[in-house]
Amino acid sequence: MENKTFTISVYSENNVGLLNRISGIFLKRHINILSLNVSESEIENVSRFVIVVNTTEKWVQNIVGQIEKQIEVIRAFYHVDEETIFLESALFKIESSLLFDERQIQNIIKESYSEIVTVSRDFFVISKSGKRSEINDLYNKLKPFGIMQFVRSGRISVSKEKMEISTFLEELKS
Amino acid sequence: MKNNKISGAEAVIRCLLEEGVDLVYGYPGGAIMPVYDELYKFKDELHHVLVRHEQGATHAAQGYARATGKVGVAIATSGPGATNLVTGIADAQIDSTPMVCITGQVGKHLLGSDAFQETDIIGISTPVTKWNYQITDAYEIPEIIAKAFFIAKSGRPGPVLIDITKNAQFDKLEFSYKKCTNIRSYNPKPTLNLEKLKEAADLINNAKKPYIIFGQGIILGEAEAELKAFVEKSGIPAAWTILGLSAMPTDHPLNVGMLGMHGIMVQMF
Amino acid sequence: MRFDDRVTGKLDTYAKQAKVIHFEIDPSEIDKNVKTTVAVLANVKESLSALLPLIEKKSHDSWHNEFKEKYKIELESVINEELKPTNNKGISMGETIEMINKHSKGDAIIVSDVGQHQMFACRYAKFNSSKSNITSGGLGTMGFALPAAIGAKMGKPEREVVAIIGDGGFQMTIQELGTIFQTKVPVKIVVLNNEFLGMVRQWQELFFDNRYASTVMNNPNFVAIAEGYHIKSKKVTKREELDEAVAEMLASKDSYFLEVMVEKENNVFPMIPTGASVSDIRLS
Repeated sequence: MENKTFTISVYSENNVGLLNRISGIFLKRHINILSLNVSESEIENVSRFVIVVNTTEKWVQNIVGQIEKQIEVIRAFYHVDEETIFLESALFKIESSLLFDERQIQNIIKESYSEIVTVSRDFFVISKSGKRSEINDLYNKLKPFGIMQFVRSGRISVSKEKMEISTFLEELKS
Repeated sequence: MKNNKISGAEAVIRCLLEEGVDLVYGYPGGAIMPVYDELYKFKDELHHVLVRHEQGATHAAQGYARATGKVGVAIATSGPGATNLVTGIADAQIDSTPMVCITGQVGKHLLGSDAFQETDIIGISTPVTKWNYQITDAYEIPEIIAKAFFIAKSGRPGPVLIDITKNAQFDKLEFSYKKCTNIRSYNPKPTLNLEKLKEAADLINNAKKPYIIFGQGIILGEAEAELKAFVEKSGIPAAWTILGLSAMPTDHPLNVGMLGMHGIMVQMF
Repeated sequence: MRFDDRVTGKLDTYAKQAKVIHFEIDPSEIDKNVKTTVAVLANVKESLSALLPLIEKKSHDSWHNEFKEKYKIELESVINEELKPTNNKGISMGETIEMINKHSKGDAIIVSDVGQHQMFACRYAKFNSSKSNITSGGLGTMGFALPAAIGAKMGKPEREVVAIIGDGGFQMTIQELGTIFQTKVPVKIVVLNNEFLGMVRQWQELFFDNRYASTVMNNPNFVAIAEGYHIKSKKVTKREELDEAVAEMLASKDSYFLEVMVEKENNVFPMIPTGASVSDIRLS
């Protein structure tokens, strides 16, 4: 079985310590988490995890089973890239003088469809959302000029198919 | 109606009594002293056995749980008392034994300050518990303990650890108790699928070389009579895992022996 | 059952030709280790009750005979010698278990620790009713039996509870003799003393050319220790003493400690070495 990139989505109660429990499941199996994002979900008081791993499908099934077993996890799913809509965000902090001294920078920013978040005397910040390859591309183009700070977010994604959480929770109530 | 305010420590004892607990194993210490003070007052209703090491408390609680089918209870103080429970908790986790461990913890305002006998037992016990929780306020006690017992006993049983900060043991609360019967994110009883059952029955009825292997699930599910009836009606030879041993009498004619590293010669054809 | 690795042996050769019907309450166990043909998810009590009317009454005599034939081989090559040693060797663990069976009639709760004695106890102890075998399975925690026996006896005071422990495991939680003394709980403790960390020594004999690294145990006077805790004690060194000692132990209304000096370098067979297939099981 070969390794693939999988996105694991977890709906859970919003409780302290659950992140520790879930990351422990990966640790126990010596599986590296490529990206982790936790936020509120579309349902009140229900949190949403988006975890990206690169492993075999058998292991992902094992992991999703173990995650669902945790008391405070409502449901867990896994998808491959083609089954999701996903993106990441990045912020680049760059010296303001470069905007004037290096003409290419203005073009690079325009062509990458990134946004200027803030401009000050000493630095400006641009943000770029999109696929990882697009962010990498922008990074590589800006690097020769000098990047003061760079940060990338984890992947966030929604699945193309329905993940029937709301109806599931309604059924539980009845 | 008289004032129902009692201390968190007293609430812990009352919760245990509500859950039908009459025997606990443990070892006192600073962070759990308020609970022990209440244990002293309630000693006619709730019997506490003083062990000689907290690990002994967990194994005794396991032995009790395995012999009776009830939830075993172990109590310890913070720091080394709590960490001494870990081996027994890990044992109960992998062998699916219902157990609730209650540990004392430093006061809420001291958490994270490396206070005397403070350890992050929640962090330490997370991978080896079915569920754990740190109570930092007295009012949480009844609901959390009810949840703990429900989780420990239901579905595939397992150990639960509840860490109670000292201030929560001293503070007062308005006590009322309700057993936990449902947690929305937890489904301990999968619904039997009759289609699958029919499929299984067909396979069994047409099998030329059927073989039953059974484990502790028979004992945990209290299905000994059902297993015996199934074995006898189907005429299928049955072998057991170490923890399934005794679910069927050892001298039953269709009992073919033990599975595992040192089991019978023929474990799978 | 969860298809533990010690039950399946090497997974890629386990039950390959079989159709597997898995009765299980925990969904994450389905297909975890062994591929399932039909998964019946529910409490097994419910599943088996519902299954029974759908099953035809049958017998599989010739199939069952295949098991019996193999068992005969096991009986002749391993079991008989273990339960009734014929040569001049010392007391075996198996024969001690048989003696306990004789006097308990299969009604005792047996609490075993971890090691060779555990395997002998699980293979040979007689059980008439459920919830009678208590041992550390998945984790294999040495020191489990002594405190667990206390819990079992307190939970089921009407049953005889016998702890069977090796000399190594006994010393891991030996302080619980204090709990037995203070509570006066009448558990029966049998220490099978081979002055070795037996199971590890067996592996060292079979796989490490008899290099007994740190498995020799110099033990104290266990009887003196038990008596120091005011527990009635006896030590058996000869085969002829065993019957009477076990009878006395089980007849006692108080706690009782019995040390049995067993043959030092006996091995537990059959055995499937780690990583081997279940069909590679060896008899010696």
